Amino acid sequence: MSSAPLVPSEVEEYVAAVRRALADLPSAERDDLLTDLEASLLETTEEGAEPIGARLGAPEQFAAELRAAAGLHEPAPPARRKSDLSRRLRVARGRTFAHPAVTALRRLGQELAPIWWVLRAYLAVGAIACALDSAWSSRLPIVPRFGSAEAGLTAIGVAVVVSVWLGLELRRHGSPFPRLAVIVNMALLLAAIPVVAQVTNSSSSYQSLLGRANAAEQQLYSGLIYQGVEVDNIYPYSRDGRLLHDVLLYDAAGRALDLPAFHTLDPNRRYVVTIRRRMLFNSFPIRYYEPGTRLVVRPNAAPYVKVPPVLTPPLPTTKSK
Amino acid sequence: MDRSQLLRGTLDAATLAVVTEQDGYGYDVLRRLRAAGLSDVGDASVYGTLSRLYKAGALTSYVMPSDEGPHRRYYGITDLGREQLAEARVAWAGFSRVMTSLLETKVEVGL
Repeated sequence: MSSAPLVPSEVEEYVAAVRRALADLPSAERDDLLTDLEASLLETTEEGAEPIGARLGAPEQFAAELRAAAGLHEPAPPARRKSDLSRRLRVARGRTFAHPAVTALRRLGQELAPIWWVLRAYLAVGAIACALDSAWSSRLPIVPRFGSAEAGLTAIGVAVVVSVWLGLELRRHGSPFPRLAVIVNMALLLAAIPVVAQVTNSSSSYQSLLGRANAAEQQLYSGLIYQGVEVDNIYPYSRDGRLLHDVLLYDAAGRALDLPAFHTLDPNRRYVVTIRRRMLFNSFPIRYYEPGTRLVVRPNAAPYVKVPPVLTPPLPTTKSK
Repeated sequence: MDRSQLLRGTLDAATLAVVTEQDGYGYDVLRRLRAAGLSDVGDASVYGTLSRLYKAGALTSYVMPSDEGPHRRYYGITDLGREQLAEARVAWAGFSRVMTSLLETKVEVGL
């Protein structure tokens, strides 16, 4: 009635011991090796009265012979520990990926992936430029010059289109080489290091170029110069020898004689301000507040000047507007 | 030289030769090899060899129900296996001729 084959426990035990000795093999491979072992051993025991261990040797020895004949490697104890560790890592990874926060993060990552697609295209072009040791545009320090900055911009544009297209294709159909995709993306991420270094370098050299240009400009047109010496204040007097305040000076072209020419704000300087709150830098004499106050302590301070008596009759004063 | 060492390099060819005659399951192949004179061939060596030849595509396999015990997996030769066997025959013929003449000469010199 019961068609279950009767396996003597001796054979069963022997097979179990061999199975244990092959525990490091992938289960499919092990089952493959062991499927008909039981049937064969059963016949072996039917033919002789000897205990199975005496005929076949220790199960471990049998397993080693089986392994060698089947062309499988000997188990290495450290490898087994490693596979144990990798199994635990796999379990931990599975648990991490199942966590809702991680799932949400992954979804967010997928939504933001197009940003990375654009970025990696730029990084790829930048990395090529670094590898070729190309010059970088001085006006647009983030653009490498392939002959010209326009060619560099075109290369970036083409790379972005290709990268986004590739990203969409792989998202739709799945990558045929997922590991390769990871390696390429990691490599591009690493390429960010030289590219960013290059861009910072080229933009700072542009900045220093600008700075030098500014300095040169400042030297040419710096504020007011009288007989080669910089004038840092002007004290106008009326013909009767009174010190005037807040006199606005212009040149023949109507340009304000600003001082200094580059408007670095001094918190203690008393700026004359228009009713539209525009600061005037051509108002003389320049006065300074007591630090922390809005008080000019000596508004009439001036170099000692003795205005000589004037003979020429005064011009009629006009009021503009 | 130990016979088992000699056997190691030739068990593939011997197994293929036995299976070519007639399909067989593990223990059957083992028994026929022993009956042919390879009395000291190890059980596990034969089972392992069958498994490896099957994985390499030199053998096919199919399962047959058995009245007495568990199902048996039979092995049969494939075209690839036949090719391998033909190659092994040529190699063995050349090798054994050389070895025979070498060893016979040595024996004469030794005498």
